[in-house]
This record gives sequence, C-alpha cells and structure tokens, in this order.
Amino acid sequence: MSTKKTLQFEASAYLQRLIGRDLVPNEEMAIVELVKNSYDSGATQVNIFIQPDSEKKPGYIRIADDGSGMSIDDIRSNFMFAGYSDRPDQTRRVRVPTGEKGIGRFAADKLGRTLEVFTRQRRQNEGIRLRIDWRAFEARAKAFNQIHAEYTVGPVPQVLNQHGTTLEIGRLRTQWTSAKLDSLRNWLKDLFDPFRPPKDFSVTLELAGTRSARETIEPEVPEADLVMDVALDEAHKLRRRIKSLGDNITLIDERSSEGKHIESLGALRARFLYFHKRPNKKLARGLEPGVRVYRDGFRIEPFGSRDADWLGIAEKRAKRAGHAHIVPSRLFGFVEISRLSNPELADTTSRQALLSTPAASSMVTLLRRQLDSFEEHLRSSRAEPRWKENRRVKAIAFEQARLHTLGVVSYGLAHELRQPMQAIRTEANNIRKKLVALGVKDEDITDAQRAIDRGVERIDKNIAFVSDIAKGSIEEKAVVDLVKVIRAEVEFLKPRCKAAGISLVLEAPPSQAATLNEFVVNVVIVNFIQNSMDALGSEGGNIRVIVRKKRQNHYVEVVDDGPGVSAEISERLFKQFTTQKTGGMGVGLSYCKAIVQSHGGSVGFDSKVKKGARFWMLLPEE
Amino acid sequence: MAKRILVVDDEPDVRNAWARSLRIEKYAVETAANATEALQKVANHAFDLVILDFIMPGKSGLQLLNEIRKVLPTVRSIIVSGRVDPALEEAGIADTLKAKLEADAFFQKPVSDERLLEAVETLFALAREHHSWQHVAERELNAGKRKKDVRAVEQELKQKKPSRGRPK
Repeated sequence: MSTKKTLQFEASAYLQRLIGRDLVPNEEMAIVELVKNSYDSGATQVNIFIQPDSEKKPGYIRIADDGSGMSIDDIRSNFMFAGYSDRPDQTRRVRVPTGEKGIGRFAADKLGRTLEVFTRQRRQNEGIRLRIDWRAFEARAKAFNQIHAEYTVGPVPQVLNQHGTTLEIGRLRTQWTSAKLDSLRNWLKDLFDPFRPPKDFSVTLELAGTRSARETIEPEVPEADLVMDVALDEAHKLRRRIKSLGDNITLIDERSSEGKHIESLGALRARFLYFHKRPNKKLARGLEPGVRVYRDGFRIEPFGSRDADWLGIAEKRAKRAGHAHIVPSRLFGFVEISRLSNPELADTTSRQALLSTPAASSMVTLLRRQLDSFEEHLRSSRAEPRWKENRRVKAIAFEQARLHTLGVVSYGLAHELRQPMQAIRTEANNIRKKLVALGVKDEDITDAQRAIDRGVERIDKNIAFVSDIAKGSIEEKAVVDLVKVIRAEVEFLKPRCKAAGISLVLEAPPSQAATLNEFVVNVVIVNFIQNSMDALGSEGGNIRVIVRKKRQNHYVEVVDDGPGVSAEISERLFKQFTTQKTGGMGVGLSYCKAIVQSHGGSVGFDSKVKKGARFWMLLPEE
Repeated sequence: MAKRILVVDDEPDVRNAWARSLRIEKYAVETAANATEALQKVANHAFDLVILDFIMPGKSGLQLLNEIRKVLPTVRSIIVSGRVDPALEEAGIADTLKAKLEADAFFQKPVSDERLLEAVETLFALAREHHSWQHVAERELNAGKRKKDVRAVEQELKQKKPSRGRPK
C-alpha cells in the first residue's frame, strides 16, 4: 500500500521577467495599463509626469491618481499576488473594470527597475509606502515567494487628493525621446473610445522641462468621407446607417432582425469611418487605421493595431488582388462593447482568448457582414461609376482619335483631289463650249456638263467637312454670348432655308452668357439645322431653334416638322456612318456627339415618325 | 486686240484646262508651270491679267505677283488655291488679299468655269477705267516692300496640317 503525499509547485522569481515580456510588449502599453488600473480603482483623474534621464539627474515617471487607494490587505492580496486581481465590490458598483488581471506589476517593471508605491484610502489619516526593486526577480534560483518588499505606514503627501495611489518608477529602462513621447501621447489618445469616452475620468500628461503645462489627453475623431453606424440591441434588432460626411447626407438607413447565429451576443455598437483616399496623419488625427474594440470606453489591445486583421479585411483584399473595395489603410473602425451587456466577451489578456468564445465569433460574423454591405455600397456608388466614367472618357478619346485619323487622311486627300477636280470641272465645260462653238447644240451635252459640275461640287463639300474635323480646335473655352453665336449660324443658313421653302426661326432670350467652345456650338448647330433641312427636303416646312437654360446648363434644341426619324435608324443615329438621307456620309452627328461629350455635355433627339424630330444639346456651365 | 492672260499653275491638267477655257472665250493665253517660267514670259510679253496658283514649288503665287508687278504695275490678278484653310470663307480670304496685297480676286479650287470667267470679264471691265498714274507709281514703289506682307498673309491662309499622334 502506498501513502498519499503532495508536491508543491514553485515558481522561479524569474517568472516575473518571462511573463512580463509577453504581457507588456512596450513602454507605452505599460503606461496605458497603469492608467487602466487607476480607472478601475475609481479615480476621476490620473496625472502622468515624465522626467526623462538627463546628464544632471536620473529620470523617473510618476503616475498619480485619486482613486480609492489600497489597504495593506489589498496590497497583499492584489498587488503582491501575481496573475490575480480580486477587486473590492465597492468599486465594481461604480465602474466596470477595464484593466487586465494583475498586469500592473509587470507594467511597472517594464518601465523602470525600481518602484515606490504611495497609497492612502479614503478617510484614513495615514497611508502606505512600499518599495520594490525588480532587480531582485532577476535571480533565477530564487523562488517567487522569496522576494520581499519593504513597506512603512505613515503620512503619504505624494498622494494626489487625500486618497489614491501614486507610483514612482525610477531607474528607467528606456530613453524617453520626443518621438517616444509622441507615440505615448497617441497611445493614450487611442485608449479611449472617441465617441463614448469613459465618464468622470481624465488623463493628463506632463513632461519635465517643457514649457507647455500639463495637457489633457482627449481622443480625436478622424475626418472621414463616409461613416457607417451599426447598432445591435438586446433583442438583436440591427440598424445600419451609411452617411456621407462632407454633405451630411444619409445614404442608407436599414433595419433588420438578426437571427440565431448571434444568439450569445449582447448589444453592441460599431462605427466605421472611411476615407475615399488614403488619409494623411493630420486627417487621421494621428490614429492608425484599423478596427478597434472598446470595452466600456476603453480600448482593448490588440484590436485595431497594425497587424491585427481580426475582421479579415486585409486578407480579403490580398486574396482578391485588390478587387475588394474596402482598402484597409482607409478604414477606421470603433466597436463598442460592454462587460455588462456582453459578459461573455470577458476579460482576457490575448486576442485569441477573446475570439474563442461563441459571443466573440458571433461579433466577428456580424461585423464582417456589415463590412460586406459597406463594401457593396462602395462598389455600387464609387467604384462602378468611376469605371463607367473611365470607359466613357476612353470611348470619347477613341472616337476623337478615329475622327482625327480620318482628318489626317482627308487632309492629304483634299490637296490631291482638288487638282484633278479642277481639271474635270473646267474641261467638262470646255467640251460643252467647244461643241457649241462647232455648231453642235444639244440639251444632253449641257445636262451632262452640269451633272459633272454638281458632282465635283459635292465631292469638294464632303472633303471640306472631313478636313474640318481634323482641324477645329475643340479644346479651349471662352465666355461668349451663346445666343449671338447661334443667331449668326441661323442667319447664315436662313437664305438657303428660304430657297427651299423652309422657315427657320430662332427662339431665344436676348442674350445668354456661357463658358464654352464656340467651334463646338457652331458645328453642332449647323449639323442639326442641316439635318432638319435635309429631312424636310423640297417639301418645305418649319425649323425652330430654341436656346434656353436648364438649371445651370445650356440647352439648345432644333425642332422640325419633317418626316421624323425611323425607328430602325434612331437606334444608331449618333453612330458614325449612319444616315437616312441620300448623300451625306453619316459622320456629322457622330462627330457632334463626340465633341459635345468631350466638353462634358450630351446630345440626343426624340422623334415621332411623320411628326418631325427634335435634336438637342446640353452643355454644362462651369 | 485680245486681252492677254498668263496662267501659272504647277498642275499641267489644271493650267491647260483653264488655258483652253479662256482661249475658247477668245483671250490670248500663255501658261507657265512655275515662277521662273512665268517671269520669262512676263519679260517678253505684256499681260493684262495673271491667274496664279497660291502655292507652287519655288516661289508662291503671292511672291510671284509681287515680282510681276515690278514689270507690269497695272496687271490684274486672280489667285486660286487648293491648299488654304478650308475653315476660312472664300470671300474673307479675297478681302484679305485685296486689302493687303491688292490681288483682285480669289477662288478655292475647284472653282466652276462660270465663276472664273465672270471674274475675268468683270476685271477687264474695270481695267478699262483709267488707272491714275499716281496709283501705279505707288504700286511700283510698294512692290519692293511687300515681302513681309506676303509672308504674313501666306501664314494666315495656309491650312494647318493636323498634328501627328492623338488629339488631346
């Protein structure tokens, strides 16, 4: 038979160092942890004073609060008991604790080799002064419980406000450069939920030797372009709103009921700020992009830190080769949870631990789905219109390039053709004249000569139009009187209309100032009127040219009472080489469209067969 | 006596067609393919009218007109071109040429036979009216100074070649 005996676990004092390194990776975080401890002790203010090491005197850090202070029992059971924190009930009623369990001691160790604690409880005349030299823990052979700390009971004037705790950390382990101090300031700013900072609590930072007095740390909110607010209540009713911040317009306001998958999740709110372009430090208010989680107003590490892609945004973008529309470097998220409504999202010291609970995975699922909707919104409202615009611009450029090519070809062709055309024209008449001189009088000869003459005339006109295309400058704009420009064209075409039995009327205000390219207007109006004239043909009819303003834009229309445009033609009317008249190359309207579009305007028409057609042009005023 | 006309164009078909047309109308016509030929003919014969192509290899029509005027101060002139900017109106160019270089008429190729002949007749009708000697003397004097004007007008009227590559 055997007798039962027990063995006792022992810890090396060096454990302090081993654990501390993992728990508190940097000095900024150490100070943040100590500030959290102050909050948990019921403090309304914490003052941080930093005296960096200098040649004259050694540096030190003092963190003083006006919290409830500690009794010797508190110190014994909390401060000296590694890895555990049993906070008194009285503070729990006032505040929801935020600090990590028993991490304060490691934080102090991270900052400096020595620590002096001054603490005094409410309504106590005397306080406690405790000295710890962390170097004692470097002895690996010693057991944890072999390390001792001395304390005295007496007056503690170092305590802030009759009660509270002051930590003085000496023999600093780091050089507090100005860059380090800036970083600390950002860490402290980033500690509080900027939208719902903890109540009755302020943190001040004071640097020795700086002229500026102590500054109060205030969280700041980046000035983004878009905001998405998500609120989930206890009954799992969800409201999602997307707002454009520049013009304060609500783009989306949706409510939905969330189902079983988030059963274990309590109420939460989240706010996502998004920049259309990567923000600079100033716009981001010194915050790093990322999605942060705040528990009762305090940030939980490491959510939102550079490498914590806990919602998989960066991963998604990487996987989809940049086709995911949320760019991680433009997104700032603020998720608010509470220990009261979300007890399951309990206190942990690592991200993995927090995320392992069902509530936490529900939260991740829920937030991911919200971001998916947000992404969908970005795609439909930003990315797609931009693609379309790009395609439109490219199409215009292509159209212009095509016409330009046509122009270049016609330029060479025009020179070449005009010489033989001149010879044909003159020689055809010479034949007629010679025959007359020889006594041959014949109608057919005269008709033939005239036909040749008309043919040459027509070829020439077409060549002239095509070379016009290559030449006209359609880039520059100037302030002109639009009515005057159009009236000149109308007057120019009036005699020809009259000859064809067409009445051409201008309906316009006395004047209309416009910033535009005159050539564009000329080409379009002449084309429109010419088009109507051709449609009316020898039958005669009426053409009205109407100029007016449509909001800020200039609207010009040419209305005729001709046969209208056939359905078959109307589909491709503004495409090149489409025409329904005999003669004409079908280049006119497509060119009109291209040059008007290149000025951000548009052209169009409507028509009823046998009831005439209306061609219009809209040009934007800048 | 028939009016004498000199047709100068580097395109043989064109100058021959015009020459034929004008001969049918009973004018005495000489042709030249370029400025050198033209000046030789001018040195040997007096002409009442010259019809000049705007741009030819060597001297242009406008430069040539200036040279001819040194010899024939009262000569009438018609400028014809296939190469000026098509965006410019024919009438506008004619005005410019008249005002700056005292060219009497201008046409874009291909000009109809009727219009050209009408212009020729009109000019000869005007020519019958007396030229003041003072005016003729001025013309002679100006011809030497006109080189700059000629160049300026040429620049103004010539068609700009479309630039290479894509439009902006």
